[in-house]
Amino acid sequence: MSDPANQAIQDNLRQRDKVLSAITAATEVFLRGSLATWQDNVLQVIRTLGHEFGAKRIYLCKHNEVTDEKVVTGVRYEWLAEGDQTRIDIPAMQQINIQEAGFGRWAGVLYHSGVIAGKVSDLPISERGWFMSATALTVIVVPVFVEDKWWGFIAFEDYAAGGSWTQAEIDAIKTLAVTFGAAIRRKRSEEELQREKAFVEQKARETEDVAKFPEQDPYPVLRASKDGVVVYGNKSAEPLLNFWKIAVGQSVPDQWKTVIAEVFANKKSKEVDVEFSGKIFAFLFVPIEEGDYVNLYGRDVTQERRAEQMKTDFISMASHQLRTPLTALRWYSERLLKKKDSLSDQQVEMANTIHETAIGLARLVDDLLSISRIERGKMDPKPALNNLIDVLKQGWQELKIQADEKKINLEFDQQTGLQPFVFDADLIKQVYLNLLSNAIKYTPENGKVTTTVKMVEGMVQIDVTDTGMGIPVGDQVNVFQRFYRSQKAIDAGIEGTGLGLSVAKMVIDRSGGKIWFESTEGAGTTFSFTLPYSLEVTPPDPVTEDAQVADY
Amino acid sequence: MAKLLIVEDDTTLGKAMVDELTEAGFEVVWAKEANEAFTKLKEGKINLIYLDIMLPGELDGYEILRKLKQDGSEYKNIPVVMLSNLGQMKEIDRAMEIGASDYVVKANIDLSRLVELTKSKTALSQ
Repeated sequence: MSDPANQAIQDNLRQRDKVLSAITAATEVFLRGSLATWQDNVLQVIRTLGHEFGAKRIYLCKHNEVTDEKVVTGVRYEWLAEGDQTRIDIPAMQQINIQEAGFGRWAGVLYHSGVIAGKVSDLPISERGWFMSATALTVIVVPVFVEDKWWGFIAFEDYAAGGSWTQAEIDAIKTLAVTFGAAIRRKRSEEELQREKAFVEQKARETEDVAKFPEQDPYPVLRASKDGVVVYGNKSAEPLLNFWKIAVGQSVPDQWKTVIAEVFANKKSKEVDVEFSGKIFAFLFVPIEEGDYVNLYGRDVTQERRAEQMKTDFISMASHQLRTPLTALRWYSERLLKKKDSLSDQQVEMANTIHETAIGLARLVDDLLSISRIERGKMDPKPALNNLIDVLKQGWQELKIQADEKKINLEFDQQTGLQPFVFDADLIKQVYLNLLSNAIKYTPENGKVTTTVKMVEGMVQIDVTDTGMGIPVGDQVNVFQRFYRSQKAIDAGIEGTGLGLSVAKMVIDRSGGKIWFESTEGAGTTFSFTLPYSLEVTPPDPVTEDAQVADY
Repeated sequence: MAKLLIVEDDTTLGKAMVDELTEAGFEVVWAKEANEAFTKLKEGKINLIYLDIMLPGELDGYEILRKLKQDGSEYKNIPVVMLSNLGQMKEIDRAMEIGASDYVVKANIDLSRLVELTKSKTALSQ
């Protein structure tokens, strides 16, 4: 076995065994080591390799930047045989521009998976500057790729004293570089996994926290399926569930099932009052289409409703209280006027003023009641079929005497036969009284006021036409403004509050009709309003039914 | 001449009605609450009743009306005109359902009109 050729082959094999077993050890370290000890693992690997290879210095450079024009790299890990000078501690070594430093050739070779290997003395002069130690005689540099990207390189200095490497060694070192690249890749995906895990955990914590929101809500929050089965109720909803005598998983009472089905079908939220535990809650029913359920958000409106109730009670009481003395004024001034013969002209005039003022004041009280009623958003709580002609005739009758006194010809022209239809009789009568009394007020003696009822494009239209003074063009835009009064009317000494027409507009707007006028100064005015001719009585809204507290 | 019963708790308004209608030639009796009203009804034949809706005491206008109009009531055929304060259609409709024959809204009517109404109502019933 002393054949030199054979010996060389055997040496070669031995060397290769050594290198391969070192690489296997390194691979194992990379595969088994945890991320937390990555740094130590790498250092352990290069230390082992250094010993096994008999190298003086091993270092790993990681690129900070790789472009077509330049490669900037830095020393990340380094192992030294004893007594040599470190590089990793030199700041300049963390930011090396390979091209500028004279290693441009290396970049080209390594980038294409090539290897730089040989005696330092064989390298171009410019490239020798890299080796700080004069003792560096040989070098082998292999690139590291991570996921097809050039990550950096591993360099061994003074690895083989002779400066020549067998292909087996070069291959083994290349394999080591591949293993290292794979380890980095694994490290990266582990880091990514950890980041993801941390992200998921963070989100879970956030979601958990958000989920506490409805639970912590001091107001009741519930969720019901579109069929009315309660699927969630927070702590504050417990009194409501108790009041309904149900638990989560059971159906709400029928009345509320209807509301849930309705908001879900209409895809429109709706607020409904519910009274329980001595409190009133306004529940907003919000349909959530994508979830096939309806969310219920409660809000304590006890104070609000009480205040509204007090206001309502006050207005109702005040109206009652006001109307009795007003009637007394009206009737006693009238009785006084009957005794004309024993009164002076001046006394008659004064009694007349009292009489007219009382009438106006009674109308004002009516208007205030209507406004308070409309502003509460409360039209007729129980819509019913009414006979429009009867309602108008009642108003007409009430004002007939007033018209007679001024010798005004009051006409009623019914151009269409009407079935009873749905409208708020009190409010429409109020509107008509306002229009008709205005017409009588602003029409001089011997004039004419005509009420016409007709059908126009499926709507019922009521016209009140007078032969009065007309509305000055400059005042026309303000006619429906609350408390607005034309200077001309004030100058003419015509009493009024400026409420009547604003009430009329509020009522008609909310009844689904329109109100307008045409006027020529000096010739007369026609006020018109329309009403939808709806013959169907829709069932009362549970909202208003529950919110209903008083007539006013 | 026709005889009227006015059921009205407010003295001022009641007096005005009584005076005006008496001056118009009617025989007028006046009650301020239910018991008094039924006493007056027993006293003699009444042709027309004016009945206030809001009344003090046990029975309000609706309840008096219901008693007057119930089956077997000897006063069933006497026409009743309700005296309404606010003129709310709802209260008027309710009274009409029970059997009132008409209504007036006090603040919206002159006494002269009330006299006319009384004349037409009593002419019908006699």
